[in-house]
Amino acid sequence: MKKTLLASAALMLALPAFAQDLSPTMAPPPADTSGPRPHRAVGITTDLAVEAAMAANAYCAAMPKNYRVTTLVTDSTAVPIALISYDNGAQITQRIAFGKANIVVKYKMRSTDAVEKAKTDAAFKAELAANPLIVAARPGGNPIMMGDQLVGTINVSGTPDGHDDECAMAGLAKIKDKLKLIQ
Amino acid sequence: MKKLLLTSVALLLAMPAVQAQPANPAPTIAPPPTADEMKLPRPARARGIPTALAIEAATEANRVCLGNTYKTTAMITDAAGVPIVVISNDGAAAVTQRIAMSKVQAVLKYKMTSGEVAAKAAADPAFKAEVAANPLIDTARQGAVPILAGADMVGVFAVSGAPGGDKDEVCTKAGLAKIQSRVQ
Repeated sequence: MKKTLLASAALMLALPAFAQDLSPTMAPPPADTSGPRPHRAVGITTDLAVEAAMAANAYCAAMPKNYRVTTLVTDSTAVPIALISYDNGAQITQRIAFGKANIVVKYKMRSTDAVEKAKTDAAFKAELAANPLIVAARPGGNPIMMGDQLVGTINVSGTPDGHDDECAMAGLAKIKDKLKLIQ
Repeated sequence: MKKLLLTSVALLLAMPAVQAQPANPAPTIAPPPTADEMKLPRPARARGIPTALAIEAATEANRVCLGNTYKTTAMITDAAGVPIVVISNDGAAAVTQRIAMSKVQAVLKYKMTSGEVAAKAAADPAFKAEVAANPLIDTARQGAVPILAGADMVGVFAVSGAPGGDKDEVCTKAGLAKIQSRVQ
């Protein structure tokens, strides 16, 4: 915890000098990498993650408006297994997709359902807004389930008019009958 | 700038809740955009290689590393450091995505391989201090190389996860070799 705080504080102090170079898509590297490096949490295999992400991107690209989206498939704790951004996708979509993954992991629900819940539940909406890893509920994030167990998430970002979820579901459909886990 | 600072402050305040999640001690990807950021125009990626080539190269790099018993993450970004693909192989450590990005940042900033940045840092204390003061790089580590189309840098390719940057770079170079003739 303390280390994370220190790293965050260091980041804040150092930001002015590096504002020009800031590439905001991925979190900064750890300050100390000498400790143990845990594997990803329970999740689907890399091959399946890549297959699902490519299928979701292809589904979006084949729609009438040829959407160029980013698909993020994560393990059960929102650590990315495959992040694939279609040709000329918008550069903000990776981060938006990650926000959706965080909703699915934290609330164990589809982000579409979180959107609906936030419409009628002001406290829930405020809670999402106060969480910098989520900010707002947006459709397009879905749990990958094996039985009752959440084993990962698949998230799409990049359609400006509400088709992210269809593409994510298309990606999930491609693999859902052959899920294999890596612990 | 102010927005970034605010985000950092918000992130600091929210950390305890984030920490409660097991096995994900720190978020891998930067936080999602704020409401204000969402209203801004959304530029496409900078110049980069096609997604299909990126998938092919990243998969090949992970395959070569796995052949050497190393479970790695391969990352290919556009010319501005925005990821086109991040593919983390079965059993890779969760921290490798962030380390791969730090190697990408070293290549972008110094226009040389991250191994060359590491070698320079080893020989030049002032340079090493500069790298250490950059939170996006922190430590120079071998394993990332520029993707060149002629003399133009059109992207960066990084691998992380082998026990040593030299071993990562073997896989990066193997992945790049698979697609180099098709990079334009």
